[in-house]
Amino acid sequence: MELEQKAAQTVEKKVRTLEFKNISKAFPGVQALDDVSFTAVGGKVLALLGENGAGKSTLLKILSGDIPCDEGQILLDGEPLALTSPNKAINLGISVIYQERQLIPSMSVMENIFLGALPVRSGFVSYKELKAQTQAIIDEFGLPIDPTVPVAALSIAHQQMVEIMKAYRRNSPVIAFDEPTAPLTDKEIDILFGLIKRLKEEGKIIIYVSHRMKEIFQITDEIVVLKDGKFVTKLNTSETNEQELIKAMVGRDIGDTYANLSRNDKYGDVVLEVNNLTTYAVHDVSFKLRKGEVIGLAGLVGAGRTEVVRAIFGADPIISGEIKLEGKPVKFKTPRDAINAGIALCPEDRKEQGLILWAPITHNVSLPVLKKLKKFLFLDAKAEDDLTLGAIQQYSIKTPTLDKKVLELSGGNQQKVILGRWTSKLVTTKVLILDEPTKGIDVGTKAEIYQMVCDFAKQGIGVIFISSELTEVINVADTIYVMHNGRITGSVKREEATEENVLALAMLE
Amino acid sequence: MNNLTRTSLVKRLVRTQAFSLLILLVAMILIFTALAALKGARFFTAKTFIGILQDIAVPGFLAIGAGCLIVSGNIDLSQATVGALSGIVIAIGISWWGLPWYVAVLIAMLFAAAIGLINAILINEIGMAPFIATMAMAAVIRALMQLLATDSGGALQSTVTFTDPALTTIGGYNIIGDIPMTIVIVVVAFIIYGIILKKTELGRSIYMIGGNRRAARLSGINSKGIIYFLYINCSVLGGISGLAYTARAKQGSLQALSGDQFTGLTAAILGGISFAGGSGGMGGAFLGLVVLKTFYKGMLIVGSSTYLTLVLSGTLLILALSLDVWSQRRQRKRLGI
Amino acid sequence: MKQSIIRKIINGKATLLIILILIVLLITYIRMPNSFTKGNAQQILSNLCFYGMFGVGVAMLLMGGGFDFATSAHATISTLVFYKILQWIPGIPWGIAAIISIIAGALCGGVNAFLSQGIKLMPFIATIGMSSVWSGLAQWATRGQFKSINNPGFSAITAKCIGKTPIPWLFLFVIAVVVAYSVVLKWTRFGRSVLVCGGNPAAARLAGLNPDKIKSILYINNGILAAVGGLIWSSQQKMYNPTGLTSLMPEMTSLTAAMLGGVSFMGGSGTLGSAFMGIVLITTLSYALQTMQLPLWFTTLVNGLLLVIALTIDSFASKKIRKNMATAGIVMPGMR
Repeated sequence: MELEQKAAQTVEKKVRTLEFKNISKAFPGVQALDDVSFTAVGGKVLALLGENGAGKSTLLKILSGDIPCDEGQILLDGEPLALTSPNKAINLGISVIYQERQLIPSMSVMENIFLGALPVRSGFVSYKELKAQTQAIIDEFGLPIDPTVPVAALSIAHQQMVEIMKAYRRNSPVIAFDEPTAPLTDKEIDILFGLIKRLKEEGKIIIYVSHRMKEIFQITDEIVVLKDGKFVTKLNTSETNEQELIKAMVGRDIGDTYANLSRNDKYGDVVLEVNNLTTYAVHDVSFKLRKGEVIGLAGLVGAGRTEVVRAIFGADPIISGEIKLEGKPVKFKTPRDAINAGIALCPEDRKEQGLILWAPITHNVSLPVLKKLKKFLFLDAKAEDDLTLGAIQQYSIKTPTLDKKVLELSGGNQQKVILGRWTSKLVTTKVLILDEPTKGIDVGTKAEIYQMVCDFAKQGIGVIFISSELTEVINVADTIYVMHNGRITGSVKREEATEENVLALAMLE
Repeated sequence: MNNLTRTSLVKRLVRTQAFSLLILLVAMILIFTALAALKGARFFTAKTFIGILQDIAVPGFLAIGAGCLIVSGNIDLSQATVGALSGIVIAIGISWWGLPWYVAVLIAMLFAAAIGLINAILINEIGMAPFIATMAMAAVIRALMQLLATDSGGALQSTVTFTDPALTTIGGYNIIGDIPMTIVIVVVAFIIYGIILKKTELGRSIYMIGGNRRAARLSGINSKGIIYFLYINCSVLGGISGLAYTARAKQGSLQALSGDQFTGLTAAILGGISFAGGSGGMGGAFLGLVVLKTFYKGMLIVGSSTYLTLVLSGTLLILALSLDVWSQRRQRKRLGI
Repeated sequence: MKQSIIRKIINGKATLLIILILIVLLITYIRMPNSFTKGNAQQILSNLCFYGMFGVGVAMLLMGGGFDFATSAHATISTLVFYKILQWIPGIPWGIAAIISIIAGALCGGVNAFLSQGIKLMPFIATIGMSSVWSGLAQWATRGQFKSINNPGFSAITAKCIGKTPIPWLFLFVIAVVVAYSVVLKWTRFGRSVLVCGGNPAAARLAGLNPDKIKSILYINNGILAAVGGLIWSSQQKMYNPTGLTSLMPEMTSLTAAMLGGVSFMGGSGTLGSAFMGIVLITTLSYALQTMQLPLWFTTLVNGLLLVIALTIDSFASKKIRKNMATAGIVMPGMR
């Protein structure tokens, strides 16, 4: 088998290479990529591994021509590539399959697959040819998809496969996958892996980004580990193991971070009880949260974790089910009702949903308590400053002035501003919901945030902690509820939780 | 750590767009004075400045309403049409229906408020884009105006005159020479709205909605309610400017305020209220308006045609927009986004 | 096969519009049985020629996700250029003047393309501003005066009918334009990318298309068709009128018509056939209102309400699509 492959490779023309050379890219407050260099070779699958915020997505965005890099270059077969736009990148032979599917929902499957390259006969689009070519690709994949239906009518898994076909159709020498399996079921994953193997045999350069260790060992040949925007190491998949990889990703034994947490062990009464909650995105969700307890919601992206907490918070309508706060049934029509009752939410995307980026820190901290800052008819600027100062000191937010625009702070400090908003002396938070609080934050601040979560619990607050990083959830939360397809598929205590048993529930394998 | 403070007041003032507008205004006055002298006309006279004040009085209310709305990231293109409608309602209320002036004014304001409410419903509940929803409403308002201004004989009156000593006295009342009292009311209104925006919970909420509506909602701000308020407020201020026009001109007109269709908008943007929402204030909007009207006045004095005013107002609107986009881009660049 | 093509051209929306048109005609017939004359038919068809040209440009631009409030101002400027050239160079064939005026229209459209796609101003406000600039210039040029255009050849293009029928030759030309643009939209790469860019510009960019370029072309195209529309109008009116077009606002009529025909205000959907049917409906309706001698306010109200209704239907439809997409996990960009 190996011999055959080697023979095949020598017969073909020389092995292609894709070299990343000294790539750097800075965003405000964070160096997303710092002098990253490595080489991917044809006929091998290269895994790009790293925590959230390690710089994988940024690297793919640069490769796809979506954003320019500050320094460095990318070379294909030794030739530097001018990746100034996605169009250029595609023409230069680079296809990227994005995590957020880039489809036109109202258009047919075939038009989506051939987006930007419709087959043309003497100036006119040939729908006959389009259909035939699309059908050929679909047959190759072995999927029951009708090329003429609009993409919107397909299941999420099939939409993802259409996205993959779109890249496959271009027959590019370089194909990059960003978390391709997240919305897929086993059947499609098998098809995808078969496809990747075939592409590999054709000598293509394949870059594969995933969080799932199992997949990485199953499909990849080499692994590049990034951490905080820096290149850490390049390993051969066959010569490494999970522990070594995790250590490389985190930079130290993660055991320590979690072992050193000073946790709360005294729970009080049940503060929040959710019974059979159903909304447009989640079904029949039930759980209980006690005072001083940290519960984690784990699951893959799109499993419905965020939708559960949004419904509790009054941000999304509830179809049926019951929510009890301190034993009393409550119905929140708007987030304001929930806040008045003592529930706080740090939303998943802090820039889109959490912060008023162009406003100063003071305004961001005082946002939910404006009513309590009133002196006669007007806002009390002094009280607002005190409030903000309190948050800045409590969380050691680094800023030169009180009214610095939040935009100019680093990700970690931004997250602390949101925490400061919900834990100031003017709010009475009984339940604190943290949705992906560590996304895009450096490792040091992450550890700080874990300790804060435990501190909130010590103060008797019930905490709901949501994260896509499994290690994080299973080590910070006391009880982990796992979600899959909008339902809770099981719960595990921290002592019993392992990545394997949580992932099994999350994927229902 | 304990001595963290806010940025000093002077620094903050110098950084605002209002400050650069002030410089622009001074420069403009100097340039026009020089140009006028070359053409044998005079710009730097009391008459010119009183004229500018007179020009500001009516559209001042428009700028306040538009400014508040743009701070929240919204827009109302029907505002000036509402002004014309309110003028028509007042005029025919007094002269055709024989109502006391205050009842006619009250009815006009109710009309304005109702239109603001409909605008808000179209945008909040049905989810239309504010531009086009208010544009469509302007057409409906025009129809309403034409309906009301059709007299018993079935003829459409483009202007309706009225006589009411009380109302015309108030509208035409001048303080110190030819300076209309309305300008005092406008300035007071600018100050009150400025205080509301900067110093009260409502004002802060408006800025936060403009900065990030979703985040504001998730932090407990009643964004829907506030947007209702803002559209009604904007419409009523449009109505008030119609009242100011009508009381002074002693007539209601279908064409009233048509020259000021986008004056409020341009003044607000010129004054640093960004279309991205969440920035600028009433001081800037006022200065923007002063700059705008000084410019028109100056151009007329140096001998430009009235038709060119239309060209100038369009050019200024685009200039103001470009300035807004440019300053945003510069800030982003400074922050490296 | 033939059946399916017919079905594709006349989809559900268009059929509904045709039924509405028939209802309008029926009501008119019941109220004014004498109004079904050859003269009236010719008048409606002439109006249709005028609105049809604007309708195609506006609908194309809408599908690509843009809108131009200055469309009628472009038309006015083009007719000004036409008038001025005829005045300056006596004896110049009107065809050459027309071509130059169409180029002027393209340039006007190009300015808006530059403002909205080049320096990324908000297209709505920027085009409103340009509308003010152009119509100011148009009025200034003749100091607000109407100027008659006495050119028999030029007037004939809109007046000549096919034989003894009330159908102007020009109407055939307009139909041909509609068909040609439909073919472009459905059967060419460019046409398909118009809908892609309107539907999801971010995805279009990542797929290697250039949404800025495509939208710019659509703005320029809108300017060109507006110029042709303006020429048709001044041929019918036999004059240059600096304020006539901007008070008629054919772009708003076209907007309403296109949306009634299923073109979404958010871009990315619709067909030209049904957009044209929308134009037919509105033109017939307003002519019917005119012949019934209903007061002006009624006509204004009908036009305003039609737009509000079209917008409401569109809002609900795109809300539904958005919701479906959100549950399916497709990220749709927030537009406008």
